[in-house]
Formats: sequence, structure tokens, C-alpha cells
Amino acid sequence: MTAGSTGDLQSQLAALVPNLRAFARSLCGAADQADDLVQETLVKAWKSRASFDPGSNLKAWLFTILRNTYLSELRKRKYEVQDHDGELAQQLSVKDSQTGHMDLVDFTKAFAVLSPEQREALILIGAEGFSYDEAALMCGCAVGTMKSRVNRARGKLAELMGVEGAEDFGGNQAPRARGIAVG
Amino acid sequence: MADDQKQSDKEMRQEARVVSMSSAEAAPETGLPEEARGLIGHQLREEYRRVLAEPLPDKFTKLLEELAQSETQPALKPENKE
Repeated sequence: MTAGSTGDLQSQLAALVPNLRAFARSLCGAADQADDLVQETLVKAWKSRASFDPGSNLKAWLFTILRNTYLSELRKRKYEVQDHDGELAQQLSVKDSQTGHMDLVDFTKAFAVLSPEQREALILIGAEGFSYDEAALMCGCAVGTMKSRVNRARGKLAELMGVEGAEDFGGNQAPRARGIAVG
Repeated sequence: MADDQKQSDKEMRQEARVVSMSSAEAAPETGLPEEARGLIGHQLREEYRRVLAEPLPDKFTKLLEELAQSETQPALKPENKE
């Protein structure tokens, strides 16, 4: 990247901040944590801008930095929200003792139960519209792995939301939502 | 890391099995009805768009300006590979 394109890069980064925030929020749930993650990503991106190939996809590059940062943080010292999710997952996996049925939840609550890898797979493919090839490259996994993450994420959501069968539609909205957009 | 690898290998094997049963490209292997996938996809995008549309806090613009102003320092070598 040449010195003359500094201003360009600045405005290109600025244009992608909303996407970075939405992606970060999907990964870590809490809004303030997500914003910290975005800021960290921007700083890293800026410092390593020399390694960015201007002919390649800037969004994919930034998303890769963001998810690498998030996952290495996660491994190092576990974000609080993960413990939270663990509890939630446990709660959700307990079947109702009387009916033997699982309590159904809405989308945001179900989404929070997915593993970080499943959440990122769904977002990259389903919300951002990256191809399986692109997403696999960004996450450093095989294309087949990416596909199975998406499939399992969808299956898990359907199970938690109670929409596995076509007859299950409608009226399954849980009243108290906690999810990707709730601080 | 080793666990990740193990996990990936397992996923690969599962994927291989699935692919051998169905060669369809659009990943319908979960056996979910089309409506379920549609509903999930719709809610996913809706939720994502909601965050995308949130007003941007000033701190991001400020940060980018600060970074641009620190331009006198040469760009460092890539450091985000751990």
C-alpha cells in the first residue's frame, strides 16, 4: 500500500465499521466488548496495512483479523459472555420435567447458545453473503468444515426454536430475548 | 490447537459422509424443511441488519483519524498472525 492511499484506506475502513460491529456483536454478544474488539481490529489492520493486497477483499481481510483476535482472546482468558452462554446452554438443554419437552426460545436466545465457530459460520455465509470458499479461507478451515458448521448451526437453531417440522411455524416467540444485539 | 485439528478432522469425516449421501450444493443435508431454513435465514439477516443500522459512535471516526495522523511512523510488519 502506497503512502498516497492512506486517506483512501481510512475512508474504506470507516465504511466497513458498521459491518465489523455487527460481526463482532454476533461473536461476543455484549455491545461494549464488541466495540472494543472492533477498535482493536482497526488498530491491527492499520499497523499491518502493508500486508494487505489492495486487489483483494478488504472486508474479508478485516473480518479475518477480527475473528482471529476474538478467538485468541477467547482462548487466552475467556470472555465473560462465554460463561454466560455456558449457563444458558445448560439451562436450555434441561428438558421440562413435566412435559419432557424442551422450552422453545426465540432466535436471538438460540443464536447465543451456538459455539463461536458456528456463529461466525452462519453470519459469514447467511448474513454477509461470503461464499463457502471465502469463509473457509477466512476461518482457516476446510470448505467441508465450513459447510458442516453452517448445517449444524441451522439444525441447532431449528431445534431450540422448535421449527424442525413444517407444522411448527408461528407463535414460538419467547418473551424475554437476550441475544446478539442486547448489551 | 490439537483439539481444533481433531475437531476439524471429525467434521471433515462427517461432511464426507453427508456428501456421499447427497451431492446437492445448497447444503440441505440437515434435513430441515425449506421453511425452517428460510425462517432462520430471515431472522439472522434481520438481526444483523438491525446492528448494521445502529448509529456509529464517534470513537471509531476519532480512532481512524488518530491512526491516519500517526502516519509519519512506517507501517509495521504484519503482526496479527500468532
